[in-house]
Parts: sequence; structure tokens; C-alpha cells
Amino acid sequence: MKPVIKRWLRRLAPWFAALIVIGALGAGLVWWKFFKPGQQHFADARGRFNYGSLDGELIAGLAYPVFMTLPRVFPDLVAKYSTQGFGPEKPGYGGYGAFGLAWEEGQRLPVGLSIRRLGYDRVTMNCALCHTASYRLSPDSQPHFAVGGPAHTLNLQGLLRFLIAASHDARFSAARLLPEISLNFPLDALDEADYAAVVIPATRAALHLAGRQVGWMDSKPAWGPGRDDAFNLSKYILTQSPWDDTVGNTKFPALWELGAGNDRLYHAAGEAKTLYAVVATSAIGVGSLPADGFAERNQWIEKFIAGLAPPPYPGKIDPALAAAGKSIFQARCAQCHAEGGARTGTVIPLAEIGTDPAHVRAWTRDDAGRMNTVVRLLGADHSEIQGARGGYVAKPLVGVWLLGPYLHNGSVPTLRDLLSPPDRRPAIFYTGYDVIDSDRVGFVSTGSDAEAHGFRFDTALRGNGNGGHPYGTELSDNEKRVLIEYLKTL
Amino acid sequence: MWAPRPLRLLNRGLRLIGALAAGACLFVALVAGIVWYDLSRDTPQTFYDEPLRQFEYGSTGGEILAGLPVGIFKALPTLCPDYLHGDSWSALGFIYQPGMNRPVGTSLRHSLGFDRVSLNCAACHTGTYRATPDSPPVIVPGMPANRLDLARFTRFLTDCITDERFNPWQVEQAVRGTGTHHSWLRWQLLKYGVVPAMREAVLLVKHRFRFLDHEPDPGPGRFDTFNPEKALLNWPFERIPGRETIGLADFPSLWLQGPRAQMHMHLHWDGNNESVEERNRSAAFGTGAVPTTLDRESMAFIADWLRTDHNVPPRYPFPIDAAKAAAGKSLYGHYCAACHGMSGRDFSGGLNGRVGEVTPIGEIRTDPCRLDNYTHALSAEQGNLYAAYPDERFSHFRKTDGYANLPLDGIWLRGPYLHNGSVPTVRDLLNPSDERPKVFYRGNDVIDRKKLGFVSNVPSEGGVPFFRFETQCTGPDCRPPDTGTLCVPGPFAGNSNRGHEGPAYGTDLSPEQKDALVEYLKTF
Repeated sequence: MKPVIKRWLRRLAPWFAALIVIGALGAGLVWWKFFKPGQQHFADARGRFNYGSLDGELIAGLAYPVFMTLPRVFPDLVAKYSTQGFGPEKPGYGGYGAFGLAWEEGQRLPVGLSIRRLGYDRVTMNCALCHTASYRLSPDSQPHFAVGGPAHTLNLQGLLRFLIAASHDARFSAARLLPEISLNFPLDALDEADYAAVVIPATRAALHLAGRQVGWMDSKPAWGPGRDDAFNLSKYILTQSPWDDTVGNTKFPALWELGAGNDRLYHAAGEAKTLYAVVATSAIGVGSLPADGFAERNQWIEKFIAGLAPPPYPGKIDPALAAAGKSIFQARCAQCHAEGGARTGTVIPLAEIGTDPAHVRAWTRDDAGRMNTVVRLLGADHSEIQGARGGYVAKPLVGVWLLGPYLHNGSVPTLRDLLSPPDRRPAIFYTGYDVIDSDRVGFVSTGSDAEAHGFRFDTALRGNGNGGHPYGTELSDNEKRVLIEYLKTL
Repeated sequence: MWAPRPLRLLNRGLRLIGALAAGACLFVALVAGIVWYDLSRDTPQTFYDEPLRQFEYGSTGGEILAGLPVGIFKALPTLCPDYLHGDSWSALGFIYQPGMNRPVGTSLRHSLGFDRVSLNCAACHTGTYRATPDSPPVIVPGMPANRLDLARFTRFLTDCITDERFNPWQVEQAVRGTGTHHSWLRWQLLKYGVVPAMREAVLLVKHRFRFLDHEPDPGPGRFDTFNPEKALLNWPFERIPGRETIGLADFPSLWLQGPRAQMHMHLHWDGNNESVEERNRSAAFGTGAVPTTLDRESMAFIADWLRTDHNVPPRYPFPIDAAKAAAGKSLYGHYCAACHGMSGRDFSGGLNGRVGEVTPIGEIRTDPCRLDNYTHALSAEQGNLYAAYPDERFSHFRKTDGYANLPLDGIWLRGPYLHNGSVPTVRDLLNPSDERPKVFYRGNDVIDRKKLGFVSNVPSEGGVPFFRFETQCTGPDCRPPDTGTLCVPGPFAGNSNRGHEGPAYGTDLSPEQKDALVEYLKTF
């Protein structure tokens, strides 16, 4: 080497060294501030299921200090988006509880929201958000929460729209959010700087991005409480397929006693063959990346779900009537809806079942193929799903008293209505009101209370059809009564 | 080094300028340092060697957010006497003690450049009584502040501070009038920093506390407890159902917190929390103390003091008829002890004791508004308060279905009675509700020895009216009084004197028996 170069190198060496040290310190600081992971601790498995992280913080995590203050900064937007489509007395306040989330007393956030540190505390969704059923026995009583039940009060679309609208509002700025945050969280100058320069702008940008990804929602019928368009979400976001005109609005299913059948098909139209695939793809759907611990966590969830059962029916059941109903059930329903029935867990073709076909059409074999490719590329194994199987899966009726409104799209408010011929089922009714209808079984869906608090469900909209499943409609009133009495026991 | 004369001069001049500049820089840095030190200095006035004074005058940390510079605090009554209907804070029921230049229940803290005053626990939990209208008031720590009108205090602050008089120059004039001295710099800070900031803050408070305009006037000795918490969470009041909007409650006493905590009694009128610490932090919001400003040392000290054996109500200072009281004791044991404790010190309720537990509204049938004001949605969202402090986060709040059974320690100082202070005396409470006074006066601290409670039938004293308390709407346009278990909003909703009646509650005892019971309760 030429001496000149050597000399220069010798002169610059300390500077290089300093640069490397500074760079390393900076990288360390960035890691510490934004990526240092934290641990969660739960007293029991239920706590972990309700509030545990699915490791989606990096992709789908919102800073907890920002997240918790949003309803305080945007009470008008909470009111607007939590009540859109609902009756005049739907509460438009109460933080995230306004969106029908199950919020247990003494908890930081509602069931289904996890807080875990990745540099800073980040909020993510987990399974329990859509799979915790809230119910009350009378309008004046307090809510009960059933783990694994369908979250029929959850207005997920309203919640998404609220977050996106907030991010487009001028108040979503450090100038407005930081003072609110600093009333609740001790922030030093460094914290304030990175909230102002990174966390708040990044959260805003992420929500803007999310808003663009779900723009298609506006041209389709509203999800309403207790439903989402899970397969279109995967199709448009995960596989980036072009937006089409399909509607896949579907009720959140219950997660009870799913461990029993081995050959059964999962999802409304049999899109998954194994429970593991359902869990893994759903986890990916909420931002969980197939990395270390992905499979183990999913297996834990699968095992936890397998042991879940619904709470017993909280009202009175007439044992004599129920016994009479049982024989009708055995004769008329068991083949498809009893555990071990010949057709239980299989797909009943559209031509036979006759229920609303929109969901089946929303998810084709090609869609499933693209999804499988993406999921495989991400690194998840045993997570293949398939196209809709041309009909709907006949499911066991575990905890059926908490599964209203009924059918895959929630288009029939009560069991009694489902036993009426399709043309005599209510064309308009109200969903998302959590008071049990002990007479017709389901939730109170008509009358002044339901109209005042509930979401107006219009069966004329695409995907909302209440036709089909004509079974038992010709039974006598008394037979229907005893059958329903028996169904309460399931 | 030699240089031509002009250059030498220039050189010398430059050196001089340089020295001057350096000096100026040093001076500016020094001043900036002092200002920064002064602005960032956060020192509370403490009385840690005198626990009672710490309770009366110690800080909760509320001054940092809600404190008024002490000069302005002193000047406000003279700046806006017309809003105050008086010329001193005592017009609102604040209590002055000899040797202290600010009322009981105010704290002092140097924060953001000024000695600032805010309220503390003692503001609402220190009261007075008099033997006769002519005797001097006796100050009792831990007693409900029976004369303090907190709603009028709130209104006075918003009215005065948003008044055109509250401008930098008149504020300076009024503050100077109180004998306050400040440096020139601090006057500038006060006039052009503090005054506009206070107006900003008051505009926010006025908006957030707008619920006060939609419920009956609390009057002295009462306030709304949980609507402020909804205000903190910025709930849109306009959307809240009428049934949930009225949260009026009497100030409770703060005595004997140790035994209460030991028995895990449910605190607050509806028994919605059993943690003394959470109850204290929740109440501290009312003094302006938020999670990031709470004075933890002082709060812990005060909480400890509240739990000591010294925190007891004073004995009834007037003669008690022993024979009558003895007769009353057996009646008490039969009718009252299970829910209210064996005595004023023994809070156990015997075999079927229910002290500190909640009696469902369908059974107690007192005014339901305060109960309905506290909702499941609020209890859930309170889980978010103090979220950054795992050991302090609220996790004990719960929605209940009735009102809690409270011990009756110092009951002679706790009138008017029931959670909403709707029954003036104990003797009235022993009557069925339709025989209880429909209208009476609050804010008098003369003891009513016959009926037990405070004198409630005197409309004014020395030309100053007492607060006229109406238990129901009585005009021609009124609906018949509601008797259900759900709150019905309307004029004087939340003020009903119904409930806690029937054979089980002793309202059909003979007048002699009731008098005996009253006599016994004087021993509590």
C-alpha cells in the first residue's frame, strides 16, 4: 500500500472507530426504544386467551398510550362510528366499549385486545375479540361474557372506521395527543420526541394505509355487529387480489367443543379441513407472522379451544317439554346437527340448503390457491385452506341459545323464526342488542328496546338473504315450542 | 507586537466587545438557568411532623395541573365579589383556622414558577358544628364538609375567570391589593402567561363540567361524584341517557378508615370499590391530581393517617339521657345492627352481618339516580386510569345493584342523611317518607339535639340565606313523584327522600321508641 494512503488511513482510523461506536449506540437506542420485546404474564389460560398477544405487534400493533387516549380526543367520532346504523339509544360513549367489545371490570382494555411491549406498549387483537359473547338476562342487568362465544355485539367495522377516521382528523397530531397522553403516562423529553417524530406519525400512516386497504368496504353492505367479511379481508389485503363485487359477510362463529369431530369441515362453507389451519390463518389475519413460536402458540390456542364449552342456559327450562323436544330433534335435526350425525360437519350443497349464496361465491378455489401461496411463502405449515365447497357446513348446535341471530349470515333473529317458512321470517330486525329472548330463543331483536339499541338488519341487502333451511317449518306450534325448549339444553 | 495606532485601537475595541459579549452571554445563561430552575422546581408545602395538618393543608399534587397562584387565589374574592355573594372564600363555606392564611382543604405547592393553591381531601371532608347560633363553630376533621358549596365554587371560578375583569392588568391590580410581592419578571409571567393559561383551562373545565347545568343544584355538602370521571374520559354528555346523568351525592365522613379497610367494606355510596387506595386516587382527580402529577408521598401519608386510631369522630358533646339511650340500644340491636354495625366503633354486624355490603335497590328503594349514574361502561373504562402505573391501576371498580350499608360512626355530624342528603335528621329518617320534610334548609351547622342532625328549618341567618333543598318537584307542572327503582330525570331528580322505610327499617315504631333510638345514636 502506498504510504500516503496508509498515512490517511491511520489519521482517519479514530474517526471511523468513533463513527462505528456512535452508529452502534444509535442502533442500540433505536432497538431499545422501538423493538425491545416484553413479556406477558397471565394467571391462567383464560387470561392468556383473552388478553394474550399473537405476536402481531410489529405489523398490527398500535401504541397503547395513543390507542387508549383516542376515544378521549375523538368522542365525536366514537359516537358517530359506534352508532352508525343503530337505533337512537345505542350508547355512543364508554371508550372502546361503545363498539360492543366485551370489557371486564378491572381490565385495562376489553377482551380480545392484548398489550405487549415491543419498544413501547403496543395493542393488538387476538382471537377473543371476535369470539367472546356478551349477554344479559334483562335490560337492567349487567353483561355476562361467554369465552369462545360469537361476539354478536362487536361492531368491528365501526371500530375500524373510527380508527381510520381519527387518523385523517387534524386532531391526530402530537400537538393534541401528547398533552392527553402526558396526563396519563410519564413521558421524558426523549419519549416526547419519539412520540412526536415517530410513534404518532407512524401510527397515523399505518392507519391511513389500513384505510386504503379496506376501501372496498364502502361499496358493500355493512357488516353490522357480530359479523365481518373475513374471506374478502384475506383476499383483498393478504393476497392483494383486485376488488370484486362479492359479499362475504358472515357471523363470527362459536369456538365451543371444536375438538370433538375429526373429519369435520371448518368455516361456514368448509374452507378449512383442520382446526389448526383455521387458527393459523386467522392469526396471520390479525398480523401474527410465522416466526419463532408461531406453531406452538397456535397449537396452544387449538388445545385451549378444544376444551371450551358454552355456559348453561341461564333461564328456566321445562324438563318435560325439553324431553318431548328431544325426540323431535332426534327425528328431524340430529342427522345434520347432533354430534356424530351422518351429515354433521359436512357441506350441504346450496341447491339443497337454499340459504344465501353470497358467502360461497366470495371465496373460490383460485382465491384459496393464492392465499395458500402467500401463507406458504410467509413460512406457515399445515395451514392450507380451500375454496368454498359449494354449500354450507351443518354444525353441531353447541350453545345454540347464544348463537343468534342464526344461519351463517345472521339473517334470522331467533330459533322460532328459523322454524318459520322463509317468507314469514322477519325482513327487518335489530341485531347487536344483548338481552336474551327466552321465549323465541336468541337475542331480543324486535320491539322498542331492540329498535332503540340495535343495528337495523335488512335481509334485502346482498349477502343478508334469510331464505333456505326450510327444515321443521311445517311442525305444529306446540312441536316447535318443545323443540326450542330442548335446544336450550344444548 | 507593534502595530500602527489605529489598528491598536481597533484591536483593543474588539477585545472589549468580545469581553462584553462573553459577559452578556454568561449573564443570559445565568438568568436562563435561574428561570429554568424556578420553573421546573416542584416543591410542596408539607407538614409531615403534624399528620392532621398534612391532611388539612397537604398536597395531593393537584396544584401542578389545577393550581391557582396564591396571589390570584387571594385576589379572586375581591376581584369578583358579585359572583361570590361575599368578600371572602368563607362565603362558599370554606373554613379558616387561626394561624393559617388560607382555608382548610387547600394545599400549597411551588410549581411552574409560582406558589400555587389547590384543593385537597380536607376541603370536602372537614366540617363544623355549633351548639347554638351564637357559639363559635367547632372544626371537625374527617367530617363531611356540610357547609362547602363545591358547585358554587366551580361556578364562581368559571364566571370570574371568564369575566372581562380577568385581564392581565386588573388581575395584577387585585393581586397587588392582597399585598403580594413579585419580581418584575414574575409579574410579566403572571400577567401574560398565567392569566391566559387560566382562561384556557377554565374554558375546558366549563365545557367538561357542563353536566352541572343539567342536574339539580347540589347545594352545600354535596357534589356529583362520577360525572367528573366521565368528564375526565371526555364522554359526550349529550348522548348519555337521562337515567344515567344525575350523580348527586352527600359528602361522606372519612373517619375510621382502618377498620373499614380491614373488613374490606365496599366504599362509595353504591359500594363500587373496596380498595381505600383506589378510592383515594379516584377522589384525587377531583383536586386536579392526575397519574403523572399525583403526590404519592403525601397521599400515602394522608392515607396512613386516615387509618390510624386517632382518626375518629368526636364524642357527642351534649348530655345524653342514659335510660332512654339504653332503651334505644336494644331497638338498635334488633333493627339496625346487622347492616350498620354493633356500635359507632364496632362495625361487625353480628351473625347475619351485612355491614359494608350492598343492599339491592329493589329492597332499599332510596333514590336510584346516583346508582344509575355509575354504569358498567364507566367501571370498565376506569380500568384505563393509572394504566402506566401497574401497582396503582384501577382494578377494583365494579357496578353494583344497590347502595352499601355503612357504619354510623359520628352519625350526629353526618346529617342530612341518606346518600343524597335528602332527609335532614335521624328522627325524620325514622318516619315513613311521606312524613319526612319535603323542603328543608341545608348549610346550617347548628346541631339539632332533639332530632339529631343539623337545624334544617331556618331559612337564613344574619341575612344570608341557607340552601333550600327540595326533595321533589312541587309546582303545578310536575309529574307525580317517581317511586320506581330506575332514575327518572326531571326537576329535582336525585333529591328524593324516599326509601329506607317500612317495618324492617323502624319507620313504624312508636314515637317514644324512635326518640329512644335517636338518643342511643348520639353515643356513636
